[in-house]
Amino acid sequence: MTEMRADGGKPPSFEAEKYKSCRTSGTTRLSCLTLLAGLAATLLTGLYPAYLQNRTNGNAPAAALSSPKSSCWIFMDIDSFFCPPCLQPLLDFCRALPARVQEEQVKGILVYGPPDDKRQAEQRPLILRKKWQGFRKANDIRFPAVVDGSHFFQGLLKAGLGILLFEEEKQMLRYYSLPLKAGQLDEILGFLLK
Amino acid sequence: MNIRTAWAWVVLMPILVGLASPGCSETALQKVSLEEVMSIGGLDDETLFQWIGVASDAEGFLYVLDALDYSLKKFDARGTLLKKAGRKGQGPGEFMAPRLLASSPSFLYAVDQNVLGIFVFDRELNYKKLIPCPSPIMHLKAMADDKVAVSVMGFQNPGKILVLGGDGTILLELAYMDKNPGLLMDTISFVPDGQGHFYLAFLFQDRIEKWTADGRRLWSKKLFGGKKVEMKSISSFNLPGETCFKDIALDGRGHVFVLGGKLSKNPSRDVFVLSQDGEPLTVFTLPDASHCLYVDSNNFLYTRADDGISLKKYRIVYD
Repeated sequence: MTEMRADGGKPPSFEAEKYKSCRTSGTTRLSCLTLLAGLAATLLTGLYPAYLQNRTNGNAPAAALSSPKSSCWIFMDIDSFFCPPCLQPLLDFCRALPARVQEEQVKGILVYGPPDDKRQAEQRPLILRKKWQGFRKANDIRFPAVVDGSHFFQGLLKAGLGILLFEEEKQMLRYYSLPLKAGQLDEILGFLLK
Repeated sequence: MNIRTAWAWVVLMPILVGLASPGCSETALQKVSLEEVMSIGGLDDETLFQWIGVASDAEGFLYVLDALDYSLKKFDARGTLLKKAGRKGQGPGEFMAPRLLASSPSFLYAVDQNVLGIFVFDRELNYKKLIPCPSPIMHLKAMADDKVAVSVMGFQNPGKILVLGGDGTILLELAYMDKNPGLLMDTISFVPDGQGHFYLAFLFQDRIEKWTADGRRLWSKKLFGGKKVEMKSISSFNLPGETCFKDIALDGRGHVFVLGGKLSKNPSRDVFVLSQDGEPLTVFTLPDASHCLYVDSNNFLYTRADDGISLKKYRIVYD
């Protein structure tokens, strides 16, 4: 269920317009996808060496460690937090993931619509972070999450919940909407647990 | 009759008439405003994550149902958290999707969306029992200890308020729909007035109504000129996509407070004030969007703020 916010009759903000155009314009959407692919490439090629560097303190060769593992980002729209049944597929997915995998290979992205005013712009990320803390603790979720302050991913997120998987072996990006279809959970687990 | 007596009658009569007829004082109501007297929760603590239901008792304790940490919380009159009960689960007193809360003098009643029935807790938050209900519950009000009223979701026979006894026995059935209006279109928030009447606000129709317990509609009002809500097709179901009204409450003076939904000028913030006869008196606007209105026995108004991480208590000021 979507919770409505009062706009007080004010014209939509620049951020709102940007968000709208991102949702509606095919060209912009393509740009968004390109940027997303770029982000993924950065993560796979750039961040992993940095990650390994950290793991080894720069003293041991990366090859001495276990090979890099697949990872995923879980997108969560704030509207889902107003709808307990909508969150159930996320909880089912989390239950299937071992704690260590959640801690090391999964990151949450909390997405929300553009703010109506300056007060909302300042408060909503903090509110969202607090809600996440309560929900995470109550459900024993282990992975951390960040707030998408750019609203970039809300423009791309078709459903309220989604999973972006970075498959290490084939250097491929895969996207899944929650609830997962038959066989998709096994497929994701296959990548993450490999 | 001497002059002094006559003068006393001239002065006192209007006052006495005014006291005897609540309608007169209602129509004189020009403006309602709010003074914040307490705030619970906020960004800097772990008190509330997304509260969904609120109730109070005669001693001033406050009870809050939180949907994100699956708990029932008790606060003192100053807003200090005293106790927390419940957790995620399907055992007695545990929640999967907590949704509604009400209180009677001795008990608290909580509804979980996934359960056909009502959890009963004592005021120390000890789980006592489940009152079974034949259908999913959409709204809940306590009428007395072991007597609760619920509106239920009905597919074959939509539009019913049931008054249930402590063992789930149906004590009263009020049918408020003439015909099947479509899926969810019969959804209401309601409030009993303690004198055998029920006030109804339709979530997805422009209708505010007053009914007698024996099933007579006393009046019906439209506040948005009969405007219809947008419908959305979801999985082949045609469902309402926006709300007309969100909640209804009675203040200590018998005014009817109705929280407007998406169709309002200020969605989820405009509160329409009606007389007991359904006459629109005034409108006031909440500082923050809320999903509910709750007025306690001392005539304080409680609403949501900051997307549910704060609960605000206001003094109602009448002009």
